Amino acid sequence: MPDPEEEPMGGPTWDALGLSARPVEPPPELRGRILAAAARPPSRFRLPLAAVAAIAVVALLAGALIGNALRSSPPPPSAQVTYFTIAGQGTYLNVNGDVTYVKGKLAVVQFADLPVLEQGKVYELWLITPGRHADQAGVFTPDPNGDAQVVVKRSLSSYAVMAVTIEQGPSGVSEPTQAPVISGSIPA
Amino acid sequence: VSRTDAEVAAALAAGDQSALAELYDRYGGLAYSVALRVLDDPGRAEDAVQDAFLGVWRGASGFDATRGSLRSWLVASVRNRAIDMLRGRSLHERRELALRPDLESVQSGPEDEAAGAQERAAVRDALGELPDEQREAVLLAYFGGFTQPEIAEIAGVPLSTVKGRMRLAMEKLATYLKARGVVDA
Repeated sequence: MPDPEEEPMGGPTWDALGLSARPVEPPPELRGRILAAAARPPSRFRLPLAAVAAIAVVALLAGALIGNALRSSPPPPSAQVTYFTIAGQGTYLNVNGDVTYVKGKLAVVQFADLPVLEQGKVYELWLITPGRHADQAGVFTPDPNGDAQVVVKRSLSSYAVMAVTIEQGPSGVSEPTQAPVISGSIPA
Repeated sequence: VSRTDAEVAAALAAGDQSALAELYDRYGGLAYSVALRVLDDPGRAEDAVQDAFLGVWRGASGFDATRGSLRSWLVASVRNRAIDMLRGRSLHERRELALRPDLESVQSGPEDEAAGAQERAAVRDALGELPDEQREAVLLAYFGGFTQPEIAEIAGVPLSTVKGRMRLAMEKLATYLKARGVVDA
C-alpha cells in the first residue's frame, strides 16, 4: 500500500468517491461476457517441453536448497501434488502463472509471456491470507523471452490467494504498493 | 430473495456463479460508471469492468468484510484497473479526463431513482461543497490516479500545499458523508 504519509488516501470516504461518477448503464452484452469468462475453466498446463524441463530443474534445485528435511523424505505421493493457475488482469490478461504445489512443502510457479519491465522494476510474488495480509514470496524478472520461474519454499496451506505486483527493484517491497497484475485463489 | 453482500461474497468464494450474476446486477452499473468516468472510453471501460469482476470472482476467498464492503472492494478494483489503463496517455490528457465537468452535467433521471441515488447525490454534493483547489486535488488523485507530487507539479504549488489540500478535503468529505449516513460515523 502507498505510504500513508505520502498518500493519505483510503478508507470509506475515499472509497465512496466512485459514487460521484455519473450513472451510465453498461452495454447489455457485458453481463453475459463476464459470466461466460468466469465459467471457463482456468487454463491448465499448456507448457512447452522446455518449460516442463525448466520446472523439473527448478524443482530439483529447490529440493537441494531446502536441505535434509526434504531429501530424507520419500518422494511425495502424486495425490500430494496439485496444480492451479493464477491469471493476469488488465494488460496482463494473456499472462498466466502455472503453479505446481507439493502440499506442505513448496510451490513452483512458471510464468510465460511476461512483459519486460522498465529499468529498476521487478515482479514481486505475494501470498495473501484470508485476512488479506500479504507475505512476500520472492521477486523475479523474466528472461528476454518473457519466461520466469519462482520457487516458493513453504506451505501454502494458510494462504488464500497468490498474486504478483510490479514493485521497485532490486529487492521489492515489504507490502504491495500496486494492484496485482496476476492473481488467483489457492485451492484448499 | 436477494442475498446480502456478505452472503454474496461467501457464495462467490464457494464458486457459486449465480453469486457473480447477482454481484453484477447489483454493482455492474456503478462499476461501469466509474470505469467510464476514469477512461472516457466505453470499450476500455468494459474491459476494466470485466477484469474487476473476474478478479473478484477469482479472489473472493480473500475477501474480508471487516476491512471494507464488497461494493468498496469492487469499485476500488475497477478504479485501479481503469487507472492502469490510463498508462500511455499524456499527463495533459489524464488531467483533462480527471477534471472534466462530470459532476455538473448530472441531472436526476430514472436511473437515479434506483437504490443508491441518494448516496451518489450526497457524494456529488460533498465534492461540490469543496473549494475548487481541494476538489481538483481529489479528482486528480481519485479519477486520474495522480500522486501528490504529480498534483503539486500540475497545480504549480509545493507538495506540502497539496498534502494540506487533500487532508482538508478528505476531512470535509468525511464529515459531510458521515452526517448523511453514506459512510459509517
